[in-house]
Amino acid sequence: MIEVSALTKVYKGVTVVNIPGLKVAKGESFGLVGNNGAGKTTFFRMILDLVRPTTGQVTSKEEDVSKNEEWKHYTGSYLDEAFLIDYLTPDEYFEFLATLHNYSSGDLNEYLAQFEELFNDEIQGKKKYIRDLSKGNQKKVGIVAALMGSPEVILLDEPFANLDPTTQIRLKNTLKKWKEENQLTMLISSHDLNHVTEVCERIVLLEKGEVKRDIHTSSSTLKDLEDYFAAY
Amino acid sequence: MFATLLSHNWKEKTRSSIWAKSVLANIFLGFAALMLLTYAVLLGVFIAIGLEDLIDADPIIFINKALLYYFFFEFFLRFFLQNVPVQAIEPYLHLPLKKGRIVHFMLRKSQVSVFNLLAILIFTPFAFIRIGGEYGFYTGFMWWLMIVGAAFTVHFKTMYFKKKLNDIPNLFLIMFLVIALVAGLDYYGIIALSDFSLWVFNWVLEQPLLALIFPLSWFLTYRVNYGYFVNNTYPEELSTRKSTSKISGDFGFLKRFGRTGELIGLELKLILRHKRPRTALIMTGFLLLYGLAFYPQEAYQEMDWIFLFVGIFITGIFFINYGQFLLSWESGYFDFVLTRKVSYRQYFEAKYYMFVVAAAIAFVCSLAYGFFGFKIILINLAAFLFNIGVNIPLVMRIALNSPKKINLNKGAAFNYEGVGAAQFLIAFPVLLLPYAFYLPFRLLGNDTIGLLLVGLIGLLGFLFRDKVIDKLTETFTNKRHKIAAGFRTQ
Repeated sequence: MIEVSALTKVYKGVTVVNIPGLKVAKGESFGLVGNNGAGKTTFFRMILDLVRPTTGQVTSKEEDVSKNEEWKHYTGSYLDEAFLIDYLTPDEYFEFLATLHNYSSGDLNEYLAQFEELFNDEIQGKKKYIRDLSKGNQKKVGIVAALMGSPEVILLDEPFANLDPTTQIRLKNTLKKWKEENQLTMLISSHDLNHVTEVCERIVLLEKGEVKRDIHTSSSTLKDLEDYFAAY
Repeated sequence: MFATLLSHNWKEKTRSSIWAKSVLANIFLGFAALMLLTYAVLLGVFIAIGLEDLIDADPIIFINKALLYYFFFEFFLRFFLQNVPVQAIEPYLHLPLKKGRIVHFMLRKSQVSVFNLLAILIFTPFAFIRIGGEYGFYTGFMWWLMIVGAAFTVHFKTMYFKKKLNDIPNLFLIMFLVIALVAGLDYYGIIALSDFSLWVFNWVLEQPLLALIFPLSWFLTYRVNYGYFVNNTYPEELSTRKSTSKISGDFGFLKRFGRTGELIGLELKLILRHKRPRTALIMTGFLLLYGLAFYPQEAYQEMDWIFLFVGIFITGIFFINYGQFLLSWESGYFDFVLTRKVSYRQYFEAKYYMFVVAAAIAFVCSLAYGFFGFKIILINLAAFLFNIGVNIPLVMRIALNSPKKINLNKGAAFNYEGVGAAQFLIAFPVLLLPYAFYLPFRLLGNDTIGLLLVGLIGLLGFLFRDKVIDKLTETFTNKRHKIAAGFRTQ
């Protein structure tokens, strides 16, 4: 599905990402872990064509993402607040996205209904702009927006951060369910080793821009990762 | 302590991204400030020594009569332009520092302001040369002290007023009505504000010691502010942004125009929900009246070549004003712009048509100027066509040159965020280019052919708009990473 070859990004002489090759198969759930400054977000941005790689390329369905815009039609993403139009209300934002995905208002209501639990009655129907929402609620809006339009690929940066425990658990279940039902390819970066090992089948560990581990999740993975980071 | 806070303040200013990133804008701003102060000094010298050449009355009586008006004017100027420096103290509130000290610091520092210099520069020469010359140095000095005290009183009054305004929503309206009433009564001679002003300020000439009332009121207003801020330094109360419960604008009708309409609707929400773009829009409305400054004037009938410039301005001010920051407005969610399910081509198409529609609306409004002659309609038509065919793409193209980030939640006054070299460049081609086609024919004595050519070139540009938008999209596609990185880091 997504293939990376000879990908590097250099900022002022410092290599922040250096990945010779990496493949994410269709339907795979891919978890990215690493300390601050490991290059996780830059890597994700290059997959989304937000940052121009110094060398190499990212292809999605065998097409270079920087060469055409086809990938946008099946890729959902939420990295940070720069993905939200903060002067809209959540309802307006969803409506705007719904038209981009050619949803009717009935489709939209049906789609949003499944997140009612996640929203906890704090998001829809409130006369509040997105910029006035709490960080956690902003994140919920962003993630739900990213899942709209039945994407084949979804990229989320730190989806669990800033969320309350209940929501974290609900989100985890939602993601798992979506993945199974829709053959969704999922790329998630997280500092929360617990959650990420639970959601993802494959974990890649980045350190200073390089892939240090690439493991299939098993019962010992969490322990391995904790040991690795403790010794770092 | 005071020194540390001051150094933080200095660092905040010099390290802010606008300061560091757009030297040009700062040079321009500094230059403008210098000009303003120079004018104030010149005005001061003039009223001190040259006033009797201009008016019949005694200069001292004249100035004393005018002073009250002056301070009203200063109050309004400050009200719109001066910021209440409260945000700056927010990061200190949780630290083990006495609240009073921080507030003292904030209030004292706020006194270092161009607005406080204004009155002093204007009236100092008058105080010492004129009043000092007539009533002696002591009286002149006391009169000067009065001016200083009054200026700082106005300073703190405005500050207090601006804070209070957040609590009492209609205060501004009430004040406006009161002032309108007083001005009206004054105008029709029912009460005379100027006599009151004379009465107050002449007292000081007779009883110089009375001038001390003004420094005293400076101190008192300071204490009032201090009391207010010490009791109200909670971040949510400090915030000058009012929480909105009203959600404006729906623009559902635009949905009928497909993706383009949808994107224009979004942009309209952006414009209406933020101060700065809204100001740009209001300016457009005002500039529609710009023609009134030209068309009725005898002097301009002789040099009617200038009307083309007026036409370009009237029909194009919206895209000149708003379009120069094309992408900067959306810098806050630019990553979303790049990843959402809208092709770049659609994105630019929507922007282009928004500007065309705005220009068309302005043109239709400008038809009223037909009152001053049919020729004006023809000129405006040529200008309108040139705008939609040539100038809009041109402005959009120039705006793609390393745009700067704009924080939409900041106010409009003295906000130079987003201003870079491109913004200084824009005026030249937009205003001069039509003359490149018009002027040669005009000089040859064939005005009409010149206008026709301008209109025709615009029309051609409009007919080839698809090609033009393609070209813009291509440029954007090549620059998108750089632009996004610029918006992200600042």
